[in-house]
Amino acid sequence: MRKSDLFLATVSTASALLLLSALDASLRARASVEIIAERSALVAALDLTDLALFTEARYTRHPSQADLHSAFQDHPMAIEHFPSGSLVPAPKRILDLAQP
Amino acid sequence: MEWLRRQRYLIDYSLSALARRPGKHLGLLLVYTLIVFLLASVMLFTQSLRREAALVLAESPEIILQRQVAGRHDLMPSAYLEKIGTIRGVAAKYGRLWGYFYDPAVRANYTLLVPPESSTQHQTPAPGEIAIGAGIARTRGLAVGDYLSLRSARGEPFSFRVASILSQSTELVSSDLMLLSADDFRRFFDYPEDRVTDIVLQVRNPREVRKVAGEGDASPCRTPARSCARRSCAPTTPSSAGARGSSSCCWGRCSPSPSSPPTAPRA
Repeated sequence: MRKSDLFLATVSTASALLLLSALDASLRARASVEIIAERSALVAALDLTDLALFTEARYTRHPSQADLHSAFQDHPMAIEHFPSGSLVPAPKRILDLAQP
Repeated sequence: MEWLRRQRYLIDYSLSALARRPGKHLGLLLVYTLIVFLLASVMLFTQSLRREAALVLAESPEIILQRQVAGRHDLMPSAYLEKIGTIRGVAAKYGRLWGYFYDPAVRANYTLLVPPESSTQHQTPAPGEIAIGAGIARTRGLAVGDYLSLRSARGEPFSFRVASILSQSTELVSSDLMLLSADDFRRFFDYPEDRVTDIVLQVRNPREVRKVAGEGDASPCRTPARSCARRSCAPTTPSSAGARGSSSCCWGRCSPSPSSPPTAPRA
């Protein structure tokens, strides 16, 4: 077997797997419609405002409900306490307010 | 056919050239693969969270009014509900009761929430009972009928019976939730009777949200306040992404009372 045959076979297999993963994602998206509807109903019923991604700080648990000061509540130059603070930025609208 | 044959020769030649230093080129291939894998994973995961947030949080409250004193959140007097009066376009207004509790046993924060009275899907738990998110149940090893003992704001032990566990499929928004009755909430946190955490304004017409939010800020509450309008925000964080999470804030234009100086948030 030539090297080019091996290479083309590898690329073809990888492309087929990529297409299959896209197909799988599409099928899963259809299957998750009910789950999204259930989550949405809970949000509407309980007036929830944010995803429960991080629970360690209020500005990462509810970034939409925190104020500009919350990340610097101890001191204006205080170093970030929580690791999740580096993963969840403040909402863009709040950051825009900081622009001159 | 000739073109294809030429390409195969070129591939043969390239692979033979690469095979002269197999260690170096295999290492490069591994590094590039890892970089693409990492970047693609992060981008796909972030994008999926944004999309999920946009879909799920579309039903969150249109406007939430919060009170600020000296740059910090403060409890909202229930009397403001009447003082705000009837703002045109507002279908309903009510106070919310919610807060955080740090559980030293698992070193995690819970979000304690009183379901709104209008909620038909989730009835308010009976006094002494709670409904918890699947995350709390898993972490504390709780099942329906078990008791969860927490220390209240006054330092007294408080026992709640787990009446139900929220569906595991809703964990993305309810993992750390603990639903309880308003009386239990006030007793547990020693919460003043005449205060709520914030005020929700429901607006029927999405195009009126920004105008109503402005009127809410300018209402005669006589305190620095801010309103968070859901439908007018831009996608930013995973949690408030998709232009639907409540993150747009029209900072307070309420006239400050003489006793509380204006504390408009700054950068």
